[in-house]
Amino acid sequence: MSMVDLVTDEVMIIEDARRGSLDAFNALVLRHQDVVYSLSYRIMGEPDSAADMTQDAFLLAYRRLETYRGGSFRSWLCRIATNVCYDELRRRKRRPATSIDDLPGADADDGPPIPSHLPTPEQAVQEGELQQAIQNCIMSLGDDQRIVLVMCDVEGFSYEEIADNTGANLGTVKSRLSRARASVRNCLQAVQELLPAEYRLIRNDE
Amino acid sequence: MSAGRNLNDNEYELLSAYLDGRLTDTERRELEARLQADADLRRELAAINRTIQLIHQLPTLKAPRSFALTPAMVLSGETRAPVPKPRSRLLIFPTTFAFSALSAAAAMLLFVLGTGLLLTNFGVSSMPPQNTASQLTNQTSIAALPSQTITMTETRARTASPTAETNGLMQQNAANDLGIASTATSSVIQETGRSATDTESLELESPESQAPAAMLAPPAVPAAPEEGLMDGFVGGENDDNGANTDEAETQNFTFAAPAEEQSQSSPEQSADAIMSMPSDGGAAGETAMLPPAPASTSGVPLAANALPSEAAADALMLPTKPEIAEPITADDAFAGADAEAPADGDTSAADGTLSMYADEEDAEEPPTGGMGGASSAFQPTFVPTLTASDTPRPTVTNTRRPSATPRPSNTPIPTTMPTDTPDATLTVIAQRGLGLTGTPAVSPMLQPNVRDAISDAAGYAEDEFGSRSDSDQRGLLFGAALVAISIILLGIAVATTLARRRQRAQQTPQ
Repeated sequence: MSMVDLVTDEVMIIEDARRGSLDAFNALVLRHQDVVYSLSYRIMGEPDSAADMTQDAFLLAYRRLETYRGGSFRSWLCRIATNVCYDELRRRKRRPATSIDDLPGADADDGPPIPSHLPTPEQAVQEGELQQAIQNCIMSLGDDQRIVLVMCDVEGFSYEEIADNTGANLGTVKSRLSRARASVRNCLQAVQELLPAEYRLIRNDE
Repeated sequence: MSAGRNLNDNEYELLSAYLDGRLTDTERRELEARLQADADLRRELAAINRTIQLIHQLPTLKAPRSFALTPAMVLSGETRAPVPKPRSRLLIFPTTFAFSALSAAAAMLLFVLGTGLLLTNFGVSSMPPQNTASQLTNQTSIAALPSQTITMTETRARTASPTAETNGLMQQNAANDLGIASTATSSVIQETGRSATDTESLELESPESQAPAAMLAPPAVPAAPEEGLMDGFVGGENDDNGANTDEAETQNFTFAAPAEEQSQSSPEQSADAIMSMPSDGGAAGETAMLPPAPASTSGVPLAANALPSEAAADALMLPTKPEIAEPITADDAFAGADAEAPADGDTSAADGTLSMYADEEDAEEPPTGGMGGASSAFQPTFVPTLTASDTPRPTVTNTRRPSATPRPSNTPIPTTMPTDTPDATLTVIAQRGLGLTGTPAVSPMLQPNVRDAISDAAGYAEDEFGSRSDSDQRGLLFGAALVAISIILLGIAVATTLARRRQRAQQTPQ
């Protein structure tokens, strides 16, 4: 199945879903749920909240399917998921008291989520550590900076898309992204001694 | 990795935009020129670029489960994370914890300030005649009393009926000193008085059983708003003034309304102190005027200026046990005091007061209200002083307010008793109510310093009551206002706390 076929297929499925087919929509869910969950996890920082946000995002997408105007359905889903996460973060900020389940680390026994494509065991260990370090650094950012960083550097959204999604102007997006990157860069440098040389930000030979 | 200079936000923003290809041609050329010359800038550019790569290389995670929608989810119309309602407010007050805490703290502060203000102004005169004896006033008036007084009330609280004890002690003391037989009592005394010998039994008795107003502990000044109480103790103050004046002139201290007014001893002679019955007795018509004690009989450590209407003062001074009517006359104890029995109408009031006090545990009742029935307004101030002696003998000093030299309003009433005197364990200074004039009689039997103190107190009290300054009244009003505001703030704090809790209860179920 070629890329064109996939896209064409998706358009047809979307049309079915818009006509009210829940099965068609669930086909779209299964196709994109890893991406949406990953995005949610990068923003929320822990599995349970990410799962909740993912479920909410798909439900919201289903109800607003008529607002999809074409283009990348994946991007459309990611924007919805980002908004759902953003709303949740703001809600928590207004009302800090959350249930224990929502607190990061509450499900520490579950361990970090599993990448969709498993590397070799050796790689898994090293990359797992690196990825966890990066994730931790991302989570150390403020909500606004983290949203922008994830949308831009994880999901690949443009400045304009980010601005449109978060309600901020382009200058603000640029500024937040710049500060977020610098923060993560400093954060990673602080922990990079724990990482293999090939993952270090600045090699010693420089 | 060399630790070069730190870049500023603007430089990071240039590098970030440069890596994203978001710089204008001009900006890009300028930055590239700087990069040629600036090693630190180059190093940071590489680091940021590496960071972006690392972030971008983060793997797509595998969804832990299927997020396919079920018909139930679609139909439920519920999203798991609904937009929270805006934080509600209680009227104009936010229901945040910070606001509640702030309100409570402010309430506490204002209450302390207000109470302090009341105490300051109250403590001076100890008894504002115009006081209508609101509950608030009662509370504050306690504090207004000298510290010794507070000690006394505490003591009384510990012992079931401290008043009874006090009475008993006093009576014993009086009897001993005067050599008065306990059996020699007026009918009035029998009704209200307690036997000196019966002290122990009396201690446990509730004032109610002893019914008469005289039984009331001195500190228990009628402060309650009840009309009956007011009538008996507070009401008629104005009328009392005239009578008081006369009384002061004559220097008569007579408890019994009827009549046998004793007259006369001049203050200097410190003459006749009659420890007599409460006003009730007078009302009952069984009044027993205690015979004026001759100066020779002095030796009773009681200074009696008890006015008829003052149940509290009388209670201390008089034996309250009916069976044993003991003449409590303390001759020479203090300047002749006219204890005039209050009008008959006062009796009911006195009774009402009594029951009320009994209910409230009079330890809490400070002398605040205008005392004095129809004839006078007295405010007893108790200054108990515990002595080292095992069996402290209370000395009750009832000092009448003399029309003496003016004293500064804020001057505390000297009430200290010599502790080395076994007999002088309890000093009760009954200050005469506002408008009363009279010269306090101090028993020669008292220790010199005690007498001085009493005289001072009396003089002071007289002056204070005679002319209560406006500033004092303003202070009282202001203090009361502060206390009232503090109560309101406390209410707000409680209300907002409850509202917050309610909100939380409503939100959590989601």
